[in-house]
Amino acid sequence: MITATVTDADVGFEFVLDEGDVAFVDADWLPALGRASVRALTVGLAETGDDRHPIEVARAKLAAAASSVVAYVLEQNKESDVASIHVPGRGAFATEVRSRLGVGETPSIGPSATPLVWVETSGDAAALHTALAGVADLGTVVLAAPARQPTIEIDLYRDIHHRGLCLHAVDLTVSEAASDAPAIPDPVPVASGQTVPMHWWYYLSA
Amino acid sequence: MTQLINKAKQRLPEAQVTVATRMGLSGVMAREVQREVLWWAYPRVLAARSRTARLWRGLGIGWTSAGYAALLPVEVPRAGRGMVTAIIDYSVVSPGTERARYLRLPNASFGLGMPGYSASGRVLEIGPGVTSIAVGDQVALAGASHATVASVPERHAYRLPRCLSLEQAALIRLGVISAHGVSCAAAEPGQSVCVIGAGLIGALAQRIALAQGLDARTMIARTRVNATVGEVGGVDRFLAIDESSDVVDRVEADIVIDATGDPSSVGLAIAAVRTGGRVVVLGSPRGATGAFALGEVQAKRLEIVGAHIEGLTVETERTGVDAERGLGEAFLRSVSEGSVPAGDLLGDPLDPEECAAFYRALANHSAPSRAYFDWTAIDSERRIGSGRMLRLPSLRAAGMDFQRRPLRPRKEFDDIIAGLDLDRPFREASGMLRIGLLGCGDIAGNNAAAAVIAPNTTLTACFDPVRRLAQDIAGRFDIDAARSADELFYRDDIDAVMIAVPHHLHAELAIGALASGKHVIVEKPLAHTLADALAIRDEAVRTGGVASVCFPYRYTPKVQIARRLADLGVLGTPSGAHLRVLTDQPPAYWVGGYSGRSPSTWRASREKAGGGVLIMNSTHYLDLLRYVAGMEFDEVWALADTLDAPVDVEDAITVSFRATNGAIGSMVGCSAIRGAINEELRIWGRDGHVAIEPDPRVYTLRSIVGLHTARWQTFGGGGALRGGANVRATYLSRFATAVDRGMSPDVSIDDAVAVQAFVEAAYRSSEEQCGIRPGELLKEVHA
Repeated sequence: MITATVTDADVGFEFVLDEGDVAFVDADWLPALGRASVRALTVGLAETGDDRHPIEVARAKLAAAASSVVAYVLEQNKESDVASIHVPGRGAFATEVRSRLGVGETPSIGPSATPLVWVETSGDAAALHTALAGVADLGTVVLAAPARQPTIEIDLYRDIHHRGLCLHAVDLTVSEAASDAPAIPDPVPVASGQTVPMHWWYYLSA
Repeated sequence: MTQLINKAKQRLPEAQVTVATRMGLSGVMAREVQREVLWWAYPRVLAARSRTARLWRGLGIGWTSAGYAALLPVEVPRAGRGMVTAIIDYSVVSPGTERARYLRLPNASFGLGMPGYSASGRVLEIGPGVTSIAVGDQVALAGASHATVASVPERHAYRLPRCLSLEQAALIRLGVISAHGVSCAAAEPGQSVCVIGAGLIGALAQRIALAQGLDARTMIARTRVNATVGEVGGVDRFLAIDESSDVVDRVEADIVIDATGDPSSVGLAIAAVRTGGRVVVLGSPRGATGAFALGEVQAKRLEIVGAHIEGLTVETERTGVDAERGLGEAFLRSVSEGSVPAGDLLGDPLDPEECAAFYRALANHSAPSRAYFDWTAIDSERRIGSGRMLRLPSLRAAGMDFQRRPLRPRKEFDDIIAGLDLDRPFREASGMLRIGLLGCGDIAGNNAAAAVIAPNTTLTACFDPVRRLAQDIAGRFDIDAARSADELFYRDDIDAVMIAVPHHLHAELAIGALASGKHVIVEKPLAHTLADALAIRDEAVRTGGVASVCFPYRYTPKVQIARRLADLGVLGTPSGAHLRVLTDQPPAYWVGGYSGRSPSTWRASREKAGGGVLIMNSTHYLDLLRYVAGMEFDEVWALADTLDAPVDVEDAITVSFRATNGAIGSMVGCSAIRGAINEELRIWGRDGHVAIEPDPRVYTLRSIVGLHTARWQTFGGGGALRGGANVRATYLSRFATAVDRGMSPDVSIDDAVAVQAFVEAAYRSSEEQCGIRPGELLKEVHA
């Protein structure tokens, strides 16, 4: 159980982990403000072995998932400019996806145009609604983070059917081997009860 | 600025209604005026856009305000540049969409209230620049509403391939929608496709997918009702959810196409698709999906794809290729070649005149799931003609309100009236019935006059214990004044005795007459109690005499027409009735009746009269409920009291009743209403409404020759129902003819007993404060 408290300036964590485990939390998995339980990428002893640092394992996992997202997006978007792909988010995963796609944090297609593809990296229901509203007609919203809630309220007609949208859940569990060298910077280490400045992602260990 | 315009758009409809209301129109009329203005403006705006100044006029289906539908005059612009005008033969109902729009469900645009978007017909004219279509071509028309005439852009008009019927061609738009759904599936040949929903779109999507080489042989539906649709389409695995929902998990289709339009069925689709598969949301979901299984979508790594036909427009704009046209042409070709069978999907032809009934049934899920309007059923004069651009919109809203501006029926209705031969009420008269009049009070003059007027009755003698009354009648009609009732019973020159005396004397005298071998006519009611009424009936049965109660209102022209209308089906199954009898009996009435000729207090006595306003003034109308609508009273609840006059009969009563067919009705009667108004009698059913009093009006959703559908219209003569001499004469003549021919009279003794049972049930209900069933009362009293 990991709880995060987010303010305008920093974030604090409270958590209890199994012995030998460490956890990683992406900045996009945090609540926008306030206190909430958050999901995390957990790395256990069995995955690190004797010679790998947990950060390397976590980085590889994130990179593999990013690679999977990028592969899907490029496959589906062969005939369009990558500039029409929008990957919002301040976290390490969104950054990695943008890096692999070669796009910036804001779409470069101009203020009047809407992106054809929107990669949603938070798993937050409100963020998904924003994505559905923000993507162009006949566009695609890529679900690139596990949903925080198993169900959400959605207006299928307005949000998907009438506008011909595609909601695609990519496989985020691909093996590390599928990934190439990640460009993800190091996470900020944090202990339970500690507050740290905002960062891309966080390394939680006892 | 945009905000201001939007605000104005929101407020305009309400403002229009407000203005119309201030013009003196009722609410329903105001809404009709609003619709008329919009429908007037719309074709003129289209005409201006098409740079044409001419219009066609025809008929089309309109949703006049929330929940109502009607066949109405429509206008469409004549073919401008790039446009094709066609006269429509058939238009197919898209049940899901039209139901949602008709009911104004969430996510369903009501628009101008012009339903329909898929039709076929013949080209009337083409505008400049049209190259693929010629005048006279048979065409499928995407986007044409349910109307006799439509103008559409050339790209929405498809010349029919050989061997394709116009009926099947009318599926064009539904075919395009379904084909678009299949294309959104982006399936590879051989991939398995499961379609959810066995309606029109679901069936077409499944058949198109199969024709495209996909393994589309699984269909899921709520019930097995449409399993045959699946069979015809080549489905070999038809799963009905109401039998077992578990099987859905085992479908594991590569692609699931949800064609239901039910927001909750996407959950089924997610369950039925394999991991990594694709769900196409083809049917337009109406309303929010409260619990969209996002977690499961992710767990199964699914693609959820929306497939609305608007997407084709976006695609066309982006690619420059008319994707919709391509799908339409391919669909028509597939149907004509037989690779997409569609003949069984058309369903039943509908008479456009009955659109109002159809949409009500559609809303209630009681309409056929597949149907099309057959516009060839409309006569050519009403189907198409030249419109007038300079015509002003009609602000009359005629026929919308019961009380104001009813329409007159069409002239064909005169034939129905003529068939009743109302001008010759004695046309079937036979025999010659010699009548003795027993009782020479208020109503005796009318009865005597009627017997003289009827060609097959004659008046022989009369009797009243008040000698001067008998002599008065005898003198006026040149007949004998008998010295006793017995004299009437035993005279050889009298065949029937007509009894018009205080109610408590009816049974004794009627039984006496019957026992003497006479036939009997009793002035209503049959008796003052049900027991006495049954005693008269039993005596009639024992003696073989013909007995009847004088209910002459049946022969009033408007009642005869109302009965004919009911027989023609304007009401459908009767579902209710209302009767109101509000009078102001002056104090003198209780001691001398209406005329004062015969002072008596029997009317004020419960023991002698049997009751007040119900038994005295309302039985004619109770008989009409039975006569016109065939209502048999099953249960009666009543409240009765004496609130005004110093009498012991009720002067106020309300009765609620249920008929044996389930219809529910009410009656309110009061004989102490200051400034009394009048009677009201109306009967309604699932498909229509007939008002007999105070003014005859009819409203029906059924297509009846000469009647407008879904509009109030007049019929028959006005004026209150009164037992004047002519209808009494008709009654007596019909009675005499029945006696002559050995038939039951129009008003049988059982009819009279049924009314009496209602009356007694109402009085007992009021006393015992519970519901009373007249049928059980009859058994109880008879025992």
